[in-house]
Amino acid sequence: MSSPAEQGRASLEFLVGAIILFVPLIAFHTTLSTLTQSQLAAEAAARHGARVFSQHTTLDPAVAATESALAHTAAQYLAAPDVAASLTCRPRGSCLAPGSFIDIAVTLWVPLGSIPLVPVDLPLTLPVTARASAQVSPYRGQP
Amino acid sequence: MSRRYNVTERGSAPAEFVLVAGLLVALSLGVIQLSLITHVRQVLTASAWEGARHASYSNTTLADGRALTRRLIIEGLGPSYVEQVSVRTVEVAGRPGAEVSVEAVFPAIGLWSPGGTLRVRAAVPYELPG
Repeated sequence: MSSPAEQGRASLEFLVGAIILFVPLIAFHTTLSTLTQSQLAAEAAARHGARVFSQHTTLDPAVAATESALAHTAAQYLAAPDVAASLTCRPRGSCLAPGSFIDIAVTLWVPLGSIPLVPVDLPLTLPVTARASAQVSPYRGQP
Repeated sequence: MSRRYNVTERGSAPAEFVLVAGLLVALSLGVIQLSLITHVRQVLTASAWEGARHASYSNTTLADGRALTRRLIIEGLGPSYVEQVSVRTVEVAGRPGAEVSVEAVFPAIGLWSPGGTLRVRAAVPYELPG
């Protein structure tokens, strides 16, 4: 026979246990919605970045404008976006020539959040990548 | 006396189970509802963005963007969510751009709503001609 101090209330234990089980579920939900939002941000940034780049005529201003466009677009959807991008010109070596193509891959590093009540930053981040292409107008510079 | 007191404290197990189960079912439905609200919000944001993007092309108009947003929302969520879709020209990062804003009913219980609105907006700078 157990002592009275060890007898718990089954219903209370059930309730507390179930509520604790809800915490990871809600955390998972939050993470998943952040990832979906990041996917939208990455796609918006990639498509806008490709457009901004292809509308320039010289490389240096094009890269600078694209970087600021990526950061600005991602910031419309995420609080503190961590954006990285890679640009590839097709055909190689003829960046921004009329009729050439630009491929852009935008990667957003999404932090997966921290554990509630544990003041440790998890080093867990996931990359969310989106790609876009654009063509420099073949008629650029022609009247 | 002491014995009778213990008996009344013990409670009825089925009644307790019903109370606790009811609470947990409500909590689960709340979590499901939270996901549904997030889903509705994401669909509205994505639709607004696609519409703004479409409106930003140099050979389309704001009305085209609005039409695309409306079509995407109807496909994604149903016709009750397209009551308020508005388009206008705004400044985006120092350049003029197309903005689509959607005001939809807030889904409170399932997709049913007693009132309240969910607002999302998306803005894309206009494409330069050339």
